[in-house]
Amino acid sequence: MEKSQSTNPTPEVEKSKSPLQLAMRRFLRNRLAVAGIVIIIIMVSIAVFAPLLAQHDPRQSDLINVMQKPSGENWLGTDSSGRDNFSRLVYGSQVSLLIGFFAMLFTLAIGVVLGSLSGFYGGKVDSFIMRAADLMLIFPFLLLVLTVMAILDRVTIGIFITIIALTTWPNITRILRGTFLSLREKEYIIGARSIGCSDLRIIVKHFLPNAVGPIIVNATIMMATLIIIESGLSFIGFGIPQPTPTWGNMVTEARSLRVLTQHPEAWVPPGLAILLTVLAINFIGDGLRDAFDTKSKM
Amino acid sequence: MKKSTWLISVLLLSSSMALAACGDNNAEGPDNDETDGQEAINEQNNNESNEDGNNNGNDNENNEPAGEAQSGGTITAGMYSAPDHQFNPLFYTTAYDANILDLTFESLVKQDENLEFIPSLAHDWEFNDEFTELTYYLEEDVTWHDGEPFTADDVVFTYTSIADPDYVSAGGVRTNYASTLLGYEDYVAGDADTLEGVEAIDDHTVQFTFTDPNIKALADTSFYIVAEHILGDIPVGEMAEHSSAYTADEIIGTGPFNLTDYQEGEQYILDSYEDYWQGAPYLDSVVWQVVDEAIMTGMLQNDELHLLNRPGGVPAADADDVEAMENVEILEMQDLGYQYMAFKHHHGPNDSLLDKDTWVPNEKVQDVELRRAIAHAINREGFVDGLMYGAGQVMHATFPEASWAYNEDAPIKYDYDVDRANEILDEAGYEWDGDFRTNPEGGEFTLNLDYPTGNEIRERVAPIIQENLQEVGIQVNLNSPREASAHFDRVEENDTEMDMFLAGWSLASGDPDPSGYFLSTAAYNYPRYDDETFDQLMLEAITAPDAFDQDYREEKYNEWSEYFSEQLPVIPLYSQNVIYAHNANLHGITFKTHQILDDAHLWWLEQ
Repeated sequence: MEKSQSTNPTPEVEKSKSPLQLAMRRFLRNRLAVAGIVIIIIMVSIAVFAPLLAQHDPRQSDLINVMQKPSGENWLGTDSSGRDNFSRLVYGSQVSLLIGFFAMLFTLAIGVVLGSLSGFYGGKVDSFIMRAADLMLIFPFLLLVLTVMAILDRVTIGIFITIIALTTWPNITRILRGTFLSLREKEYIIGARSIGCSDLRIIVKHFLPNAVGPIIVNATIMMATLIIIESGLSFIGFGIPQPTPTWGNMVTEARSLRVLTQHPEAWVPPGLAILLTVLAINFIGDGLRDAFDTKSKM
Repeated sequence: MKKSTWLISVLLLSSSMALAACGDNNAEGPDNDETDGQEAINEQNNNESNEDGNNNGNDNENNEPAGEAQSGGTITAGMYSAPDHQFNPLFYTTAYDANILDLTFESLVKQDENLEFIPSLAHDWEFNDEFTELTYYLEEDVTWHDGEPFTADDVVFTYTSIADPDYVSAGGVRTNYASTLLGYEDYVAGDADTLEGVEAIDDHTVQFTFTDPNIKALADTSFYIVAEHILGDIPVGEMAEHSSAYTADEIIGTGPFNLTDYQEGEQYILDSYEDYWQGAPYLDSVVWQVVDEAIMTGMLQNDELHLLNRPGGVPAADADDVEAMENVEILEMQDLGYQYMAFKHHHGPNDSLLDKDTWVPNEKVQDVELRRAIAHAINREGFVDGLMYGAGQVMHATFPEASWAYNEDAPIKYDYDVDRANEILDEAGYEWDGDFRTNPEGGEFTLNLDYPTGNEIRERVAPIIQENLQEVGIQVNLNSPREASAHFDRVEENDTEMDMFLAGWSLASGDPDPSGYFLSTAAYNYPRYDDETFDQLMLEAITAPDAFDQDYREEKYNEWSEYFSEQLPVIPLYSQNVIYAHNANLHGITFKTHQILDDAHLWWLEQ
């Protein structure tokens, strides 16, 4: 086959599909993944058009109307400080998605850089990076995050994302290192090396494009995890401080038995929102994994 | 003379102090997060009577005999956080430990519903004419839980231990109980072998001698008495760590119940002491359980919880649900404590916190007009009506309605009035620049506000204060809330970034004397406020001989309240009511403004 290609470059009659197109096709045939995409598109639109959808300022308290039942004025009632639940739900999607997305990007950046260094160079660089990763992994994640949050004066969204990224990078780093390690032994890498390609060029031109599948899949699933982490930390009071609306901050209200039993409108919608978003992202992640898996049948 | 009665400022009060006072004793953990836990306190305590608080109590007292008291039965009482497991009364710090100590230890005198001092271990007492000597005549049939007799030597031992040179370094925070005694300075410095101020005349007579006429003598001598035959051989410096401070059977007091077993952080079992000097308790045992606030209401409903004490009590938002339960009765009482927002008037180096010469004024909050505008801008009425469902009062001075020093007309009232706040700021030269105002010099103006976690209402208040102030153009940088002990460490230390902070005082005492935390030289003067007139008025109110006259004190406190409200060194926010709950079958509890545990031998369970 190689032979025929080299002698006979482009005589195809019917156009064969590129790997990406094949993946796309496989992905679109996965109904759950498509449903996930739809949900995410809806969530993102809600986040983008929040100012149009919300009738109230999500941070504005109204002490005369705390814990109100749903009404024409407050569609989902109000929380314990009289803030409008619907507006908080809508604006909460902005914060939760932003945190999920950017924390994922940040973590990914760290993971890709360290993972490729580790996988490409091996040896001392590899053991150093991997030991650092091990150290982070054995360190109780929650304890570390809580400590850092406690030391800081103000936890803003940016700081929050940074802290999360700096504590969750080892997993993705290890996954990418594994991928790169296996790529390292491939003939085309040896070929590239033999014709004198620089390290950077090999990593950027040959490693990364071939690892794009695992990267995208892991990044997607990680985003779901990060949204859960944000909600969890906010729930126990160590996330983005009130009155910033996040879904986790809203669910916090349900810690009281009274709210839990008598005010489902206060915590069911944000809970559902978290569930749907995370589920949708996971479906997409699964869909992508199957799609990129070249061994899977169409 | 007995007119001046004194408080047993032990409970919450102490817990607060503890937190405040011992940065290095970090055993507190989340305990202190409760409403009462963290704050410092006022120890003094004279009181005449406090109609409001008590009426409230009496009206709701529906414990009248459902028949003869019955013996037997075990009750479960709930608290929201675990004790520190420091069960040596000399060293305990949290209100949760106090829940157990109040049942196991007793003091010479205690306070009744009107916060008047009444006999306990001492059946009688007398002062000399100068009020420098106080002689107690002790009950003769009192025995410790191990059967040994209680004598005057135990009293002397207790107070001598508090005055010990090693007491403070070992973590003790109750020096105020000994510091007024004659010879305290010499003894604590190690220059004397005995403490002159407390002396056993015979086995059942003990005499206290004070350096100066003491208007709070009864309060100063109302600390828990510990057993000399148990603790006598342990150096004071090692007591807090000794097994007698945490081993169930080694905690020997004179009280009606005896701690026999506990599972750390879960439950604490106290069995009745059959030879209790006032007669064997009706109940077989009292079990303190550490329960989560979220499941508390369910446990009350299922008869799994018979009593819910403070700190905490029933959250106001749940009160209606709990009240509707047929098997549960609730009792709402005004509290002597209150919450406030303080300004940091000065910053000073950590190593000389109380040396005023080293203080540097915090220019941002020096302007009294600014403080008044802030008082108008904060919706305190909204906090009480909205966040507390009306179960509390807005504070205009530092005396809550439950205190006898409360006078509605004394302080200037700053009602929630955004227009007025804007007006004051305009006049004072804080010009608008975009969304916010500048300072009078035209520079950027931002105030930093810190607050602790734990007290849910207070946590909700902080962002609303930020919002209220932004409405009148004052930019507030709201820092993330810290765990309470970290917050108070920060408040105590020099933090030049801090302009304002939220906190509360738990005043378990009926005496309104604020000098323990407002006097410029007091360790608890967290705002680092320094004003001569302010100090002078406070001191006049407790200086003998005039201060023996309650009317005189009242007048002084009115003057002080007015001056306070003019200057507003701190903005008092609100006083939240305490809501107790108990099972309808549990009878015999006397609900007092300051505590409910000291008559536990009279509690009985209808079976």
